[in-house]
Amino acid sequence: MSRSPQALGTGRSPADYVAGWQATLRLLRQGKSWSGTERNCVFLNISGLNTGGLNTGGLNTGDLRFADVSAVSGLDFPDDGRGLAVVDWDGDGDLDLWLANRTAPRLRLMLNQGESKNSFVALRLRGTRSNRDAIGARAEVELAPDPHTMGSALGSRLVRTIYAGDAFLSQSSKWLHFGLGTAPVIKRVTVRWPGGKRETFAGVRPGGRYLLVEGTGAAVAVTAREPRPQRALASAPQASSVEPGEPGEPEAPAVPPAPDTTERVLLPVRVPLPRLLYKPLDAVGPRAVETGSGPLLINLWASWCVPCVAELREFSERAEELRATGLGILALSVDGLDRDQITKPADANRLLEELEFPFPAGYATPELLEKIELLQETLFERSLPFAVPASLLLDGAGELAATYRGRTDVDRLLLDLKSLGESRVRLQAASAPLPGRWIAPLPGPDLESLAKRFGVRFPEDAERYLRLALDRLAARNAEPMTPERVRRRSEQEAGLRLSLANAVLKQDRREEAIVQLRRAIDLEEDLGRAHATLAAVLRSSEPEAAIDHYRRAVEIDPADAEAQHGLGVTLRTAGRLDEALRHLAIAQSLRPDWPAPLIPMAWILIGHPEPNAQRAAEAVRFAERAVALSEDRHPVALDTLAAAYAAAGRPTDAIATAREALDSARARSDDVLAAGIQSRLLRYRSSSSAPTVPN
Amino acid sequence: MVARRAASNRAPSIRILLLSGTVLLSACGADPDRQSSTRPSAFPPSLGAAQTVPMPLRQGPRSPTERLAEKVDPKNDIWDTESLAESTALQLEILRGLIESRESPVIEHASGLIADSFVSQTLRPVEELDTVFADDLWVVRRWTEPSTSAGPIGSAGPAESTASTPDHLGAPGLVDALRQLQDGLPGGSDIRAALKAYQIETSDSFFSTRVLVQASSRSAGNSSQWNASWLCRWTYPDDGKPPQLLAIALERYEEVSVRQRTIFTDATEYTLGRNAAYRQQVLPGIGHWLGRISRLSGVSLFGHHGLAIGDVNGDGLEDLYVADAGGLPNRLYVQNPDGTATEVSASARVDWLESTSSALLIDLDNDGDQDLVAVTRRMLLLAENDGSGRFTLHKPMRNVVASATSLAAADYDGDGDLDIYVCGYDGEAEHQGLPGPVPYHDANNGGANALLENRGGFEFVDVTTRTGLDANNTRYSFAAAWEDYDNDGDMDLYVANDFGRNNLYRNSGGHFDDVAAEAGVEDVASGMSVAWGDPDRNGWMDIYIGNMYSAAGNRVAYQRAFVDATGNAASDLQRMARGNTFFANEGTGSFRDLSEAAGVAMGRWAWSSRFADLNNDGWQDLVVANGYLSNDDTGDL
Repeated sequence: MSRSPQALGTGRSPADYVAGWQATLRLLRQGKSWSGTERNCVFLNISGLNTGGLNTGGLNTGDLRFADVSAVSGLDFPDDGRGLAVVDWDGDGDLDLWLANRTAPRLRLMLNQGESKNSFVALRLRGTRSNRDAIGARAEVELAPDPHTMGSALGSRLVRTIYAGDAFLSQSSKWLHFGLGTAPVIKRVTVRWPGGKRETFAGVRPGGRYLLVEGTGAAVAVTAREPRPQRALASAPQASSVEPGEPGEPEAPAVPPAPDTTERVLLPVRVPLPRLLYKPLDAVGPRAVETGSGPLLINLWASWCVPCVAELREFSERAEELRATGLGILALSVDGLDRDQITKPADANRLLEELEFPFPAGYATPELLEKIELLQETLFERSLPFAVPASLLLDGAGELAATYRGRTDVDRLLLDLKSLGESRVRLQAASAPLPGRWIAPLPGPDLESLAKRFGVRFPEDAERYLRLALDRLAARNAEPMTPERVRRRSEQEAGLRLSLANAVLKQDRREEAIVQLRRAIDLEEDLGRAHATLAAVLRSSEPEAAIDHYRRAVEIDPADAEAQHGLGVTLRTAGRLDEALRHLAIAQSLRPDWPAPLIPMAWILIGHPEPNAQRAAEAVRFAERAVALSEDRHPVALDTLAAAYAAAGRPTDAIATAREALDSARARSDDVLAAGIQSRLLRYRSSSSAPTVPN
Repeated sequence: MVARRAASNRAPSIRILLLSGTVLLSACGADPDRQSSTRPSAFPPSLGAAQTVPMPLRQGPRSPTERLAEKVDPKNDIWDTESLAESTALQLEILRGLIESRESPVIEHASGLIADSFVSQTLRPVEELDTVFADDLWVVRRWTEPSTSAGPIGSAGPAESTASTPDHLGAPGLVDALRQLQDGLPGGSDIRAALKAYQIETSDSFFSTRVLVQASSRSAGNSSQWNASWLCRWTYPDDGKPPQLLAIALERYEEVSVRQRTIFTDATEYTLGRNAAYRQQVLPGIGHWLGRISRLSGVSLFGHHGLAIGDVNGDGLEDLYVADAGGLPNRLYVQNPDGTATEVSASARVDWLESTSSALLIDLDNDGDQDLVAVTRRMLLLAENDGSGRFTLHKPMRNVVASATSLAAADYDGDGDLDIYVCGYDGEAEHQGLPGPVPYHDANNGGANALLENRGGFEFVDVTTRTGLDANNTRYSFAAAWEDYDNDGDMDLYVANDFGRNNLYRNSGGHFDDVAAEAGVEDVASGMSVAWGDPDRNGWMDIYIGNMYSAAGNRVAYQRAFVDATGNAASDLQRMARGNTFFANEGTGSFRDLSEAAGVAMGRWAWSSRFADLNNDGWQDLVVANGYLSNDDTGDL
């Protein structure tokens, strides 16, 4: 994992740090825990002992003390807690808690059943000139000194403010609750309204609830409701089942609903598919899944999988019914694709024959499974290992509309097919597992992130997604545009074209990449990565143009180590060695653990027109560092080091190192490199002259 | 020794260990053995029961995710002390079993745990306990050994400590010491204990860990708990043999008892159980939905959804509004006189399906009823109450912030209506929850927060820039709370940020300045919650901040090798893992950090952390809701 960068630079997080976050995220999505099953904490304020629990002025700073009472409080559930709101829910004069959790149960009402003899008073404030909820108002309850304790002569002042939103994602009751200790006497109640105006209220007694209206000066008692619900709670048989269990056990809630073993998900928006290839039963070569001629269910199965076979049998038995809806089924076997090769494709074939399977069938390819996994990662927060049976339901346009993990229920499938024709709004409504109302249409899938996900292994799919994204962007041109939106649109398009260039480069389509990069630069001249990428493409054919674009890239983002490196290497080829060295050194300082810039740096010094001992020694240092940083003592780094030793007048070291480089190059079957090393090795043996510098 | 050399030679890998626990990750993917029992040798002749469970397919030699898992296995990382900590965890597990066993601890069980020369201080110095708190319900007794508790743990070991209590030797000694600890938990039939190593330091011939130990028990009329910190000295593991305890020294001991079985009772089912939503939406956790709702609907792994209390129908009883994930409706529960609540979100027209993080019930138009504000990732929803608890949604405000978290309302400009502050996390929806904060301990590249001024008629205007709140406000904010900290009559604002410094914005006539640094409340840590209160009763409002406590982070970040490798950032990074923060308002414009002195730092991976006087004695207590991600895979990151 990677260290956090110490500075923000130009806003791009260094790739390995971001990759670290993403790696963590992926593990979490696979179901790993992270600081999980932690028990809630409760700290009891024990500062009041020496004063009988009350009746002192403020503490001296530093005298505040708490005791950890988490376990005895009964609140130490191992839930993933999030929200926590305080309210006297049952009206019995003490504070209860509502908790919102990430884990089950998502909510808990924890009733305070402490049998303390301490008294309380509750105040609800109402603004007339101030905001009516009196948010920000502060009530002060002043208690008479208790003769039995050593409190300060002034008695004590308890202060509470009304908040609307605090802690994390929570809003507590607007009733101000004051615990008063034992046998309290309220001397005065003052409200400081928002803005600072103070008003004293008469008529507040311990044990009561009062409404205090701004400007009236008199508290109005609010009668407690009848019957007091805590009695009902104490005797209610329903409550017993959720009473905290025996200590030592996590207090589990009542049994959650039985999970339906098939996870069927209607997507709220349609998702374009990558190109899917399969092997037809009767042909050798792969064939693309044909879409766009009516809805299609792609079903993945294996002959060893019991529910798969049941599903195929049901498809066969109800073939007419299914065909009548216009649905096509493509059943793709994964036999032979699992690690242990439990079964062979021939087993799948035998099963299909036995079933007289009436729909097209074939074999899935490893790439197809990989693409389906990538799709699942895009669609779900929880990434599950691929399992069969699994199905994808495509709409008439060939876009993904629903996924099924587990056996498809044909009746359910028939219903889902009907919803394919629904409007966008109704489709979104149908996608929610529980009824409710959406306020706005959901955005479609993020095609750019789909492209990013697929781009690593499948640049042709990345290209497809990026071209779709560009089409959609172009379609939005018709909408009225503010200058701000024009700017953002052009930024987006430039970014997409840069990604597209990278995707086509991976497919060795250099000319197309150059076109896309030039258009990106036309749109956003200060897109540094576009300059750097274009420069890399042009490096061998048009070195001067490449140098110009590299220069622009590092002008825009001096912290772009790759661009600095590329510029250095290109300058070196052009013979501008001092300049080259400067940019390579910058690249090196930006990414100290990266061996790439060190190698040309060493070679420049080795082949320097004015060689001297200092340059040679420096070359050795660079090359040694490159070897140390390179993976498995890479032959290129070793070759460089050998040459540096030779230049530094250490022929024995040079020969030994070159030999190691040679072995390593041969082990990697890198014949070109091996030949180069071989010729240099001969020279080290024959003389102490400087070697020819390779490019 | 091997461990020590390795740890100091290589560059550190800060992030993953600082944040994470230590348990090793097993390889991902399906378990092949699970298949074999259900796998037929040929295809099945008949189908019998409707078996629908999908069968995992194990592919390839090693998936990329398996390789990824190896990378974050602490044992493959450079902090070899994490491997040591892991090996002691297994021993601590045995110790836990001994503490929990009501059968007197058996000497044989203790013997594999300890070296021959084992020596322990008395772990429950009953003669030296002071009663520091007592009322009709509670008793708190405490012992402190002032001499050893603060220093670096490698330097002073148990053998050097000046214990006034008699030592216990060998296995019988350990059994004795544990038996005495059990006496601290009278009455209860079941003891529950937890031990966690939170600091580690290596020496040539041994290594030491600081261990947090807690145990509790409950009976009908009594509930007790003790909390301790032990300094444990271990032999190095050798030849597959686990580390053995050389010595235990007591650093901190506290005993609590309450004359009741428990203080809080779970009344969720009584209150909500009659609603269909209880079974459908309260009982299943977020994990249930992650494979059943597409991310495209706005469901997220992190489960950041809150709640709001308010009386929506004016009947004098408090009601509850609950925010939920995309695809799951938000819920309004209206309280009945018997304390139960009825779910009415559809008829109240607030059953929104958009992923909602936070909501407030407040009177936005000063007409005497509670209106509803809710925030989805990018929309602020304002719904007007007709007085009976039915709501009309006004035109949503779009793009107020990106990936919104908490809401906090106050009348910042004193014009008699409520304005709304909205916290934004990162700017890009794609990484909601886990971002790319740069630098980790002081990130300022998140999404911007916004202050929305109430212009009447449910019209709000973004005044963030005009009021100066645009300073320092792209810091991955999780929470905000308004309070008049300087007692000048207007509302100031504290904002808790996930990666580094927090903000304290002082209000002067409607303009805000971030005075967090000069007030001493920057609190470089992972801020997730903020609440105000006056627990010391001096009339100046204090701050409690929910942060992350990481035992692994503590173990790593306090080691010399880590400090050497990270230089100036080390103390900031140590703070990142310290836990919750309590700032006492000194009334002079500045605050003092009393988190550790007051004993309220260890709130674990804390979310909502707040004041509440739970025992009505007039002194505000603290409650912390915590835990990050408990998933079905038990290998904790």
